[in-house]
Amino acid sequence: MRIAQYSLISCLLLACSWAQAQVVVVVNRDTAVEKINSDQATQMFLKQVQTWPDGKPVQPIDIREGAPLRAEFYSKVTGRSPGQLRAYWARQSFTGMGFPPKQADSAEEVSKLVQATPGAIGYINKKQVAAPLKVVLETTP
Amino acid sequence: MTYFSLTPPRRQSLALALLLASALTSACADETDAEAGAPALRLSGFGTLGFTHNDNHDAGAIFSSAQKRPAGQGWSSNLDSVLGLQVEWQAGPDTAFVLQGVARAGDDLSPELRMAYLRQQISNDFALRGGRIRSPLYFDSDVVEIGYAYLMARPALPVYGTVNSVASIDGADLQWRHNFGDTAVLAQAYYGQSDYHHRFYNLDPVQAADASLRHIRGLAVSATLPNLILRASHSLIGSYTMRSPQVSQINGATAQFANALQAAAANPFLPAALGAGLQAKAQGISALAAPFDSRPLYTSVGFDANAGDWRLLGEATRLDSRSAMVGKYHGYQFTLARSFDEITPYVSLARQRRVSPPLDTSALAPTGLDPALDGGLAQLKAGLDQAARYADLSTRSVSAGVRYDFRGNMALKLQYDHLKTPGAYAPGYFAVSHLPIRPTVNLFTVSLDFVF
Repeated sequence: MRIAQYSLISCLLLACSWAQAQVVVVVNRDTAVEKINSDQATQMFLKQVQTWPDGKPVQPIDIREGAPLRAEFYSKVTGRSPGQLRAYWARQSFTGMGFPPKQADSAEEVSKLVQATPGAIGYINKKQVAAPLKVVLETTP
Repeated sequence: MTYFSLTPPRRQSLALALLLASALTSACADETDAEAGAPALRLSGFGTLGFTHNDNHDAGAIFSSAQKRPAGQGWSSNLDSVLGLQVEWQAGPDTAFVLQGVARAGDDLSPELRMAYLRQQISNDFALRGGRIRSPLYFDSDVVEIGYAYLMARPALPVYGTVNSVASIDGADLQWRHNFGDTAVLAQAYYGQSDYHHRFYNLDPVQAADASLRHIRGLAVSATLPNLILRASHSLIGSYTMRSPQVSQINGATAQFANALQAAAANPFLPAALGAGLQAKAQGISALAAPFDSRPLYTSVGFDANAGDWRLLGEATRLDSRSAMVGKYHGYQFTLARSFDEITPYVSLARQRRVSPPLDTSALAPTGLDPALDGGLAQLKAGLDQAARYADLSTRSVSAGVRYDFRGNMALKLQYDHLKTPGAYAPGYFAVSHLPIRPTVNLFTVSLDFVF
């Protein structure tokens, strides 16, 4: 019983911490843009826009399904729920018109992949931003 | 450009192989290319478990003219229930293979290969797919079987019923994607062929003709804006033929009568006026040969708009079969939905209307020359007139429903459809074995859609 109570409290604390997380969209430092808006970020993560203004391919990197940061990002930036997102990718992949972005297991892995991949774009917690990354969009906490 | 065709037995074998391969690969479905961070081999699937109640004894509800078992009066799972499995293999950064098999309850769960293609990204903007791809004929043609990805229980039957039979194309498409500011444009040019079994539900027992579509070519262009998708497509079919013993009998009889009259008209002892009359009649009968063969043009213009919690979808279609028997149709569908978190109620209107007159069989009127000849002509005329009545697919529908996304990969839908044909002697888009019929059909559907 006590373990269950602790678990519940831990979950609530975790949920609160995520609710206050500030998601930022980051790109590889060589990408030729300084800022993008929410609509542009949405189109890139939905793979509707596949090239940067200089013609280089956009390489979106997602976090695995079920991660709170992923839900936060899609809710705040794209206005889509996990279910709507799933329906969107179901349509794309089962009709052969597109496949979801690469997925990383954690925000740390997103940071590494964005740093290492030209044209990459990802999203992480603002507190995790490291120097080589370029922040192009900040959400409100 | 190369393409291949799959005859039904080969198609089934391949589909079985796909399902087997799916099972075998499930163990390694998450095999990951560490460098790319994406699974190189991925197994996924979709399905619908749907039950539909039909209140009409005369008219079975069908998803397509290829459906083996219509959803007749009472409860049935034949209309919407489907299971699909897909294997994707990312062979390289720009190369992917995709196999997808589906099994529909209305077809006794016989597996069919719906997609089997190689996709090659040629450049940032261009990609080529070769093999079997899903049909691009109308706005939602490629998604009709994937209930979870679609708002309603199914795209409107009056409009989509006529094109659902062409589920996939064996051929290739070239896709061009480009961004103009916030607008993402996709142009898809396609070429190929398709085969299916077209069922004549008015024959007892029901007979299936081998339907073949050759030289399918077309272009679909879509523009995706932040809250709006626009799409227009136009497809031309080089030849759409149906072959079965019954169809061959009609084709043979018209040719035989036309030849007989042609020969009679050439008789130099006949009065000139009578000869000319017979000649005209022979030409009229020749024009009735192969009445089910056509060269259709399919045109579609549609949109999908979002405004906050509201969503509006619409599409206008044109089908010109360029065949007097099959006819010319105008169609539309509009759907309005409002989301309340996970619950989305919607209403929808759809109509497909024949705008060309029924087949004119007056060339088969009696000649007055020979009772045996006239008897044969009368028999052929009766057969063609009956076939022409069954060829009118005009149908309209009003639908209301609600979608409940109760889990991240599952949705429950309740939907009511009121469908109507123009009259008791117009079967519309239903499986009808006799005329007259009660021309209204009420469907109530409960379905569970899922992806995995």
